[in-house]
Amino acid sequence: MQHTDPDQLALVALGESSDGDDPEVVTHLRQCALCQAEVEALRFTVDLARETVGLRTEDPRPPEAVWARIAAELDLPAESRSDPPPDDARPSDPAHGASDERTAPDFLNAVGRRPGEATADGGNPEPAARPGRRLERRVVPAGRRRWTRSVTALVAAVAVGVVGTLVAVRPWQNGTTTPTVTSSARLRPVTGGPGGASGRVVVVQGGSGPELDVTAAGLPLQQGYYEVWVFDGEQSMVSVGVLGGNSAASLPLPLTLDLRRYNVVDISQERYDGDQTHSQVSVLRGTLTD
Amino acid sequence: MTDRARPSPDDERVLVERFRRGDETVLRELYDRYGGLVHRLGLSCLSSHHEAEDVTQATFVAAWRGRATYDPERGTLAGWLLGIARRQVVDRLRVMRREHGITAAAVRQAEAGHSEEAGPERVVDRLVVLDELRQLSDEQRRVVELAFFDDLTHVQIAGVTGLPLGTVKSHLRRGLARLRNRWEVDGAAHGSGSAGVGRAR
Repeated sequence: MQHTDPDQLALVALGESSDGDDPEVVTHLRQCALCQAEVEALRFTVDLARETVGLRTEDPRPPEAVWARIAAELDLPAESRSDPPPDDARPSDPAHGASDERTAPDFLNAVGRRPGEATADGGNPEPAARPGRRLERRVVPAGRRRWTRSVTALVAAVAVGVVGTLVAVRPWQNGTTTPTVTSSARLRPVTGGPGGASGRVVVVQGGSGPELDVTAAGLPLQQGYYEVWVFDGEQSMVSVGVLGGNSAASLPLPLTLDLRRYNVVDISQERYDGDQTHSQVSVLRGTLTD
Repeated sequence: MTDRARPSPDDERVLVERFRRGDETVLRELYDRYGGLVHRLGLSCLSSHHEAEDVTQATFVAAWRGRATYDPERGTLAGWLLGIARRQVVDRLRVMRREHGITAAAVRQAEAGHSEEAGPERVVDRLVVLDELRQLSDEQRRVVELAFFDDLTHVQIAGVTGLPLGTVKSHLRRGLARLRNRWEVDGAAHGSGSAGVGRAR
């Protein structure tokens, strides 16, 4: 038996009309299971192809932060990228500006912050020592302060002096300052903590002062939030801020904070209990190294 | 995503070799190449960008950790990644049912692709065909798209494109055959996408 020409089968699958159909083809198809099966498979393919009509645009690029979380979770080198990305589509991340020198790892892009960029956004009230800071990703439950009492007092006491000095020097107004990484740490689960958790921390000195960029992964969902502290290894914990919903945060550090003394980064599990002190439940910890 | 000029079979072979070898720099290339496609699956099946991002993240993490299980004989990297992503999506749909009381019936419908909204299997099949369509030559793709989306007959396509009738018929036959073969290799129901890696944590 002569089977139907494959060209013809394709046209049948595409539903080309039966006007002027070769009666031999029609008859054969009625009788031949093999050709029928072929047409069915091709028809299925045509249906699928037609369903891609809504997908004919370029695939939407996931935000760069997704890659940062992948790299953090797998502990891949931050520079594992094949080429620098073009401008991210995220509205909070303006196009890459003057400096193409990336002395900071691309990790910085991932958390969507660019220290040194001025902003008019007032944001949350902050200690006077750092005017003009941009405050993103600070999930601040109502009524909570970010600093332990001792540090708040310290900051207030030196605020006048510090501001005076900084006004003279104005490092953050130097728009061409390239952010540099001064230290970093890999965060590991605390004994008895969630085994699947991991994280990375990078201390960045930018035009507007020092900042702690945190990425974490594998933190269990819970009623409450995760808080980032720096610890002197003995008794003193200073709160630096809170992780945002995507387990990342870029947290400005007080200029007076001595990271040589407070060189352990700790992430704790906190409840909304009005207690500003450390819950004593740490989940991740790591020591900063240069 | 990096503008994917049609990757040659050699490109894919090299990527696969580096991937299985554990070359740490290759994951970013795979992410650039296939991350958008994977992300589309989550966006199509789940209810928020946040969940879609979780799926994309979980997919590439699982892919890296499970790279020894990828068998190029069983399908393409794209198909394998979409298979991992599909399992992530299905797991999250089940969680949604448990936690938000979406009825079991609605979830089953979504999973089986019977409802208006396509289930994850159907979306994977579409994405696989989409990926193959992109790999056709420009001329061939134009011909098949005129047939699929504009419903032109082969005679009309020849008229519109100026191509000989024989060329048009050949493009249609071969194009359809390629899409069908790709679906058979990488579609949700079988092939490398259907086993192994990638349960949600």
